[in-house]
Formats: sequence, structure tokens, C-alpha cells
Amino acid sequence: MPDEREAAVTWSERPHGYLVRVAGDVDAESAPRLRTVLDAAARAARPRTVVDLSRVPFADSAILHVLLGAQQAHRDLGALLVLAGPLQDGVARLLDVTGTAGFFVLAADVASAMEVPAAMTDR
Amino acid sequence: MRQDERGDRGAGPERQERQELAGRPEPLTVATAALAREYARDLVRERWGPVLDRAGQEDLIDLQLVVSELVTNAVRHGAGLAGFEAWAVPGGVRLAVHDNSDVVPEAAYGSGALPLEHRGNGYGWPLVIRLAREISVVRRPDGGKTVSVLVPFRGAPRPSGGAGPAR
Repeated sequence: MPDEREAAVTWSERPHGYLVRVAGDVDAESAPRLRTVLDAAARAARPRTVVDLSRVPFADSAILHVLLGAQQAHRDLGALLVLAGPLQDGVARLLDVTGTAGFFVLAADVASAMEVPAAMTDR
Repeated sequence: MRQDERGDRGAGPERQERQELAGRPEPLTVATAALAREYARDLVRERWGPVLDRAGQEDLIDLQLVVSELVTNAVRHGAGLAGFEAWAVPGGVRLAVHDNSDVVPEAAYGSGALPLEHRGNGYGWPLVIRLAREISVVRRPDGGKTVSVLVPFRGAPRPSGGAGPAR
């Protein structure tokens, strides 16, 4: 049933940043949950927020709206937003078709996302 | 709520149209994009096989993207989803998304150019334009409109009539 596929969003404080994990499909129904958590992450004023997308099989343009907004909010506060993979095919395809991969800081996984230098935000 | 389809048909337009109409189900009353995507996945697995090759997996992603964007548009901007249809044809999956609004989105006739600002709004129609073909937006006589598209699917669908032999 599709309810089981709708995204769950969890978050935790890590030594090097705020970690947000998304599991499940992200669309206009479930994207607000991600937005709420990312708003809180920006306010937490950690130097880095990592968004783990490795458990997202599918996302439509609603996730772009949320992620781009969150990235701007982080930037405004001088913080770094990093998307962590490995991205599943659905998310990779979305970024590819919309040409938005280059708008984000992407890391291969959560561990390397936590190590991305904050200086790499010049986008 | 059905509209007669116009547009290019290729050879044997009458025969192909009969084939396509024969496969076209009654509109579903799905309520969410998630349910519509699930229906599309089930349709593909039934018609192209429970196991898809790489091309099929890629095309299934694209199909779900188009379904999700169109149904979300109907729910959020179309005064509600009035019906959803998806059916397999040679070469792809046809979708008809019925909503309750007479407003025809300008972006549907756009070039598919991506938003210039990185704001996040406005990626929906460019996605549809890039992934789907034969996009038509038709106002219905009883009010509301229908957005119809063809999403290409590589490989021939299996003959209709249910699942074939297990692979």
C-alpha cells in the first residue's frame, strides 16, 4: 500500500552536524514533513546539516522545492546543507532531468557528508 | 468525462485507436499522487512484466514522475482530482488526469525551460514536458479539464489478459 511508502523523516544531532534522514517516497504530501525538520535544522544553527536521501526510492519536484528553500535558509545563516547518498535511481533521475544536481552539495554517503569542508559552499 | 483524442497516430489510425480504447479502463477515483503512482507501477508490471530490464526500470521512474506531477497539479491547483486514467498502448502508457478547474496552466505550453531562479517552484511542468509526449489540455463541457499525455515505455507490452509465464 502506498501509505507504507510515504516518507518518514527523523533527525539527530551528531558531532559534526545535524543529521536528517528521510525514508520513503517524497511528494507534495510528505515533503512538508521534511520542510518542518529542515526549518528546525536551520534554526539549530549547527555549521552543517546533512540530509540522508539514501532511503528515498522516489521523489518528485516537491522535494526540490523543500531542498532548495532549505539550502537558501542555511546559506543565509552561514551554514552548510549537504545531501548524502548513495542516491537511489529515482532521486538521481529527478536531479538529472531537472538539471538541479549542480545546485546542491552532494556527498557519496553520510560519513563523507559530515566531512565536507564548510568552505565548499560557493554556489 | 472522456475526450476523443486527436493527434498523430501513425499507420492504421482506426485500428490503433480501437486497440487503445479497448485497453482503456474506467477512470479511477484515486485520491492521491501516491495511489496514482502505485496504480501506474502495477500497470507496468502487469503489461511489461513483473521483472523489468534496465530500460524498463528507467522508464518506470519517468512514468511515476509524470504521474506524480500531474496528479499533484490536479489536487493542488486544479480544484481537486476528478479522475485518473492510465492504460498501456504500444510504445508507452497514456495518462488522462481530470480535474475540476477550467484554468489551463500556461506552463503546460511552455518550452520546458527550467526556472531561472533556484527557488524550487515551477519544476513540475518542465518535468512533464521533458518526459512525456503528445501533451494535451482540454476543457470538458461539464466543467474542469483533462490533461492527457503519453509517457514512452521501451519494449513491447505483453498481450493483455493478465500475467504471462513467470520469468
